[in-house]
Amino acid sequence: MEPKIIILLGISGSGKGTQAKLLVEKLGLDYIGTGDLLRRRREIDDFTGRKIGKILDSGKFVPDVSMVRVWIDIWEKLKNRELFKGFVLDGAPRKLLEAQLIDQALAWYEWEEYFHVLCIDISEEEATLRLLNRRMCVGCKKIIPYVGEYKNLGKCDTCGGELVKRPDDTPDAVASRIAEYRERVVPVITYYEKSNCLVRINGEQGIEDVHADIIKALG
Amino acid sequence: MKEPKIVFILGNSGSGKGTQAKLLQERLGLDYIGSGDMLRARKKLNDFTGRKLRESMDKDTTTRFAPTAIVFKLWVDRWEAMKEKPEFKGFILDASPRKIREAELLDEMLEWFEWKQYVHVIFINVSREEAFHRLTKRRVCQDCKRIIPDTGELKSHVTCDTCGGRLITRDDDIPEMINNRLDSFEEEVMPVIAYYEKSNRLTRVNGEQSIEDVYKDIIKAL
Repeated sequence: MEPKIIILLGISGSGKGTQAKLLVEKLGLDYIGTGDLLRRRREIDDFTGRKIGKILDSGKFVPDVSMVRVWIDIWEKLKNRELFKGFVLDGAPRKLLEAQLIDQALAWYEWEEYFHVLCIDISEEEATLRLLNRRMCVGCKKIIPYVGEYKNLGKCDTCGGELVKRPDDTPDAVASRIAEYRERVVPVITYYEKSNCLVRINGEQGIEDVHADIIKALG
Repeated sequence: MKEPKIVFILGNSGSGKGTQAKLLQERLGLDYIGSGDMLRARKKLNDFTGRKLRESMDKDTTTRFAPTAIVFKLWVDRWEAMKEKPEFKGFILDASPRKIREAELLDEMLEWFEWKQYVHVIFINVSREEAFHRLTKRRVCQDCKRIIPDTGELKSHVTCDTCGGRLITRDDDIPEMINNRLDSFEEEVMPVIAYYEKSNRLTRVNGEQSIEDVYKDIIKAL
């Protein structure tokens, strides 16, 4: 069977994390994120492991190119695995240089024809609204998005914990996250658009409708 | 700790950069990174990339088929190991980068490893005529792939001075292919040289001198 190789792009608040999770559950794909990979990479006691640890502890960003090598290790493993249905790369790349490296690596692993780049589109106003109003469970740390029926949720739907705003979802922080997206990710989206492998998905719909559009786009 | 020396050696085929890289390795104790050696080592692993490299290298010994992304991964793994070495003195990157994109990538990665400020780029300059002349005369060891330049006492050797293997003319050292290589060097690498010149990291060394004189000029630059 043909594997599905998916890059999910979208502004914070677009729901790409939620959609990535749905794809993983329903299609049996592997999930390749960023945060969890970095947390695992820091456990290796070498220069890079120690440096990632320091950067994560200080709340800063790990440079993008350092991620590519971690992904290549994962892709090599997936390529050698017998049962492989594909993967979702969540929230990357954020730089042209990185996008080009990913293209080359995917061609090397002979996946380029199965490659889909999906951009979940929502307006900046909608993103701001969602990020300022989304909540997090105090107990299990689950993020409760500010969409559809979740808006009215009183307690965490997973563990029953209390729901609060995240301290880093302040108006200033949200504005700077959106500005960073415009500056860094939008050029990458243009790059994929030019090479004709981008599909835009309307993200201002219910979660199931967004998912249905994604499935349609994957063919 | 003394400052490490990070040396990129660029030059036409036939400029003598391999010879100079070897001298730097022997005399300054620098580690050597060449794409050919790394890919030959990588292809021994029995995974997808190992198998694919074996197949591709049987067809094309220049290793130009290998995409930057794969070579980049090999570089990074070597640097990670060097970063842990107590007696690390620096390394020589032989014949890379070949493209602006690779140069930018190297800058980003060397910044990560905190070596960016120690980078010296040496461009060994020989005229096209001289390069052509040297390439039609040089030989290669059939076994260890060492290139035997047409200089000094090496001219008269019939077997490899390192492993004793038989010396042959490289398949791609015929006039037409030499010209192709020299063309693609001018096209690809000249922009890279301009990139380093702009950031004041480039030293041009006259390659039409004896091996020892070229070496002296390189040491001066470092």
